[in-house]
Amino acid sequence: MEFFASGEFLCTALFLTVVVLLMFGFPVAFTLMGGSLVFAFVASAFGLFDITFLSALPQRIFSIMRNEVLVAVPLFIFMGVTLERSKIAEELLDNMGRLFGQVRGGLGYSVFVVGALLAASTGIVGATVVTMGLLSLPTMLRRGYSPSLACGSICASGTLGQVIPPSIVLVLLGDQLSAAFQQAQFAKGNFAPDAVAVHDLFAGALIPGMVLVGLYILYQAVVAFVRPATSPAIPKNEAGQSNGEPALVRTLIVTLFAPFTLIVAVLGSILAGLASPTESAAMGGIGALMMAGYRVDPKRGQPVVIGALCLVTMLLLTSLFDLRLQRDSIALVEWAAIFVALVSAFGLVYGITTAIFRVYSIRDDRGESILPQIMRQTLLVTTMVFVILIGASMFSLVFRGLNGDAVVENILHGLPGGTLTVLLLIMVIMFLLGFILDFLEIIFIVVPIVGPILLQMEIAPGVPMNPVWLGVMIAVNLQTSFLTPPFGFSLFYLRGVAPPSIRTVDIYKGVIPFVGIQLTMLVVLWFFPALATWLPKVLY
Amino acid sequence: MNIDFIGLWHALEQLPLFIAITVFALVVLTVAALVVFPAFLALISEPFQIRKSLLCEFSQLSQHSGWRNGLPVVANCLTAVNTVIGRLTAWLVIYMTLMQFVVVIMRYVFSYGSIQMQESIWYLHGLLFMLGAGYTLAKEGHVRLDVFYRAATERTRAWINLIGAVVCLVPFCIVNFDLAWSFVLNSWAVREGSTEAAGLPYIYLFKTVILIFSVLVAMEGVALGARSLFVLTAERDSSNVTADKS
Repeated sequence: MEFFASGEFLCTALFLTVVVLLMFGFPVAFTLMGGSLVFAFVASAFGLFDITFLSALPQRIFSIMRNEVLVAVPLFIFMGVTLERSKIAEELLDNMGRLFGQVRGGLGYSVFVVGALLAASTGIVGATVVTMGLLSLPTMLRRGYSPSLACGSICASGTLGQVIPPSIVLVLLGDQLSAAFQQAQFAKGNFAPDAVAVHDLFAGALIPGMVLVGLYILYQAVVAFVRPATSPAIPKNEAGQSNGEPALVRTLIVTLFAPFTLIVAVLGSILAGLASPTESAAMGGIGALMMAGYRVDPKRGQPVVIGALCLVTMLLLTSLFDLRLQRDSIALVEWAAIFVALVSAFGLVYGITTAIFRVYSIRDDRGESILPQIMRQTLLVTTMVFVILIGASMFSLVFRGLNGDAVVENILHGLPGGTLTVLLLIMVIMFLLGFILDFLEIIFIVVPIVGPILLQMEIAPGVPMNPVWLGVMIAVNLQTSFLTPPFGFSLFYLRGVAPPSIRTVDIYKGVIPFVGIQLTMLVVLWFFPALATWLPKVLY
Repeated sequence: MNIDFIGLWHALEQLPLFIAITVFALVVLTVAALVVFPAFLALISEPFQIRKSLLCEFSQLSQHSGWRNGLPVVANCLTAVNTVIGRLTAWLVIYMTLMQFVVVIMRYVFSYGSIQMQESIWYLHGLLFMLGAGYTLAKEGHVRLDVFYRAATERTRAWINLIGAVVCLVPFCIVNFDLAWSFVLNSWAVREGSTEAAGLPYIYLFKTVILIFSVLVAMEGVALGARSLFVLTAERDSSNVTADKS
């Protein structure tokens, strides 16, 4: 009885119960809620759990509802869904393929670049892999790419989006890490800690993400050079016949230019510290909407173009003149500038309204408007994320009530070998959990438990662990986990959309080199933490 | 539990006015939109058009047991309510994006900030997933770990969903409703407003959404359970029929 009442046993039992229940396949969010609840009731029946702990639940839910940082999540999802549903993503991939197609391995490059650009805005493992699989796998196979190489590239680029800002995974991870960091600082007796914000994590993840894209492309180039049969170029006459038309070159530039500008503007304004992630996400969402609206009818696209120009005018004016309305004396020039800005605002409203109605007029194959579909899809993904967060906070309430924090801390501090062992152990555990749990659950459950403990440790004598570095390590580690055969998530998702002619072994074979690249990246990050910590330090 | 009934009454006093203003604003906006853009009618009526597949599929009803026929009727009614609410809630997405966009433009171009507008975006964000939770369950939007579930037969899936709904989902909703009840009442009693002086004074209404969340999710949970039970009893029915024949 002594043993069964111990904190170690109860916490392990709670964790295992919930994990086993999750395996049955009932929705994750409700399994977390119900599993923890039932466990709490059983434990309290034996006098092992104080049921009043649960009364903090409504406050927890309410703090999720009014979390300012997480407002960015639905906005980024809206942007991603709009780009996907309005077929901008598809067009982008298509045109990139045409642009690079004549180079050996060119389709492979475009898959990586588009994956890095667009997955950034969606960030849910399954969705991106499925989208990329449906869009590019048939093309790559038709062009004679080896199935394993094509599958490997798609899985890798589909998961890549998680570590490249502005992915929603990084928003959620940043939010959890900042709470953990604050807790760690309080525990150390520092009651006025520097905050870690989401934009720090964005800045930290940028260079490692870019390095990963670079390594992927390098791998593709080497394969194309060593074994040309695996990634042939599109024959000149086929791709070239349209090459001469200036119209095509123009559409190519337009279709490539707009999404690039959008992503760069969104990311740039966050990294430059001009706007918060939420503000940039709203700009990105409206930008995507305007692009989609323009795309419907480019010949009558003037209203949308006028709207975009008005926006640029306003931003220019505000950098040149003082447009503040609430002050005592306003010079005549400034009145003029304010007048122009207000007129531009009307132009912008005109552009956005037109864009919304244009998007509303797009019908899908079943003749239904895509605007409600975009909004519903955004609603579904947002709700999925946040209800899991509610479930996870229920779990962590019960876990705390069983004194789980202290138990984990004791175990981790009791390990021989110091920080390295602890970090390695946690990374391995996260890697293994990545086989059965999705990114969200791991971020919401594991990070709040181990984060404060890890962040109190010193990576070298006198050097505290950097939360941004830890976040990047976690992100890359989990991304590796999702790629690793035979249980990696992305492999299952790709299997679901790949044609039956592709054997599962092909997918496994194709993805192994990318797992190697990922592991290399982790080792490099371990030895050169500056890769992740340099940019945030320079920027802020 | 001590409820401050006087405080609660004062809080309630303000509610009809709030609702009246909201409804009036919605009606005016709708009429204006209809005058400017007649196709808006299709837009606003769309969430209420429940597809036929949502309604009862009579071909599956059995002649053997009467209570069983009630299951899909109950399930579809509950799902229909959640579907309408979910579709209406989905419009908050674009409203929220536009609102945030306006805030950004006002702040960066005209250096004008409104705490009330900023807070209303948080409200919209909270409403979005709290009101959409039941709809997401109906649309199978909540992610499952489907390593085992994907390979399972329809009957096994029905068992998982039935047990999950009865053991996990509905009890959680009941407990959550119970816990949130006093939390929300306390908030109503003091007519809790924003911590900012210039903020929106409607925190008590916002907190009430937790109760609505519990109810909506529980409704959809009951619907899920009823559908699963329908599947499970169907098999038993057909096995009875074959037993009769033999």
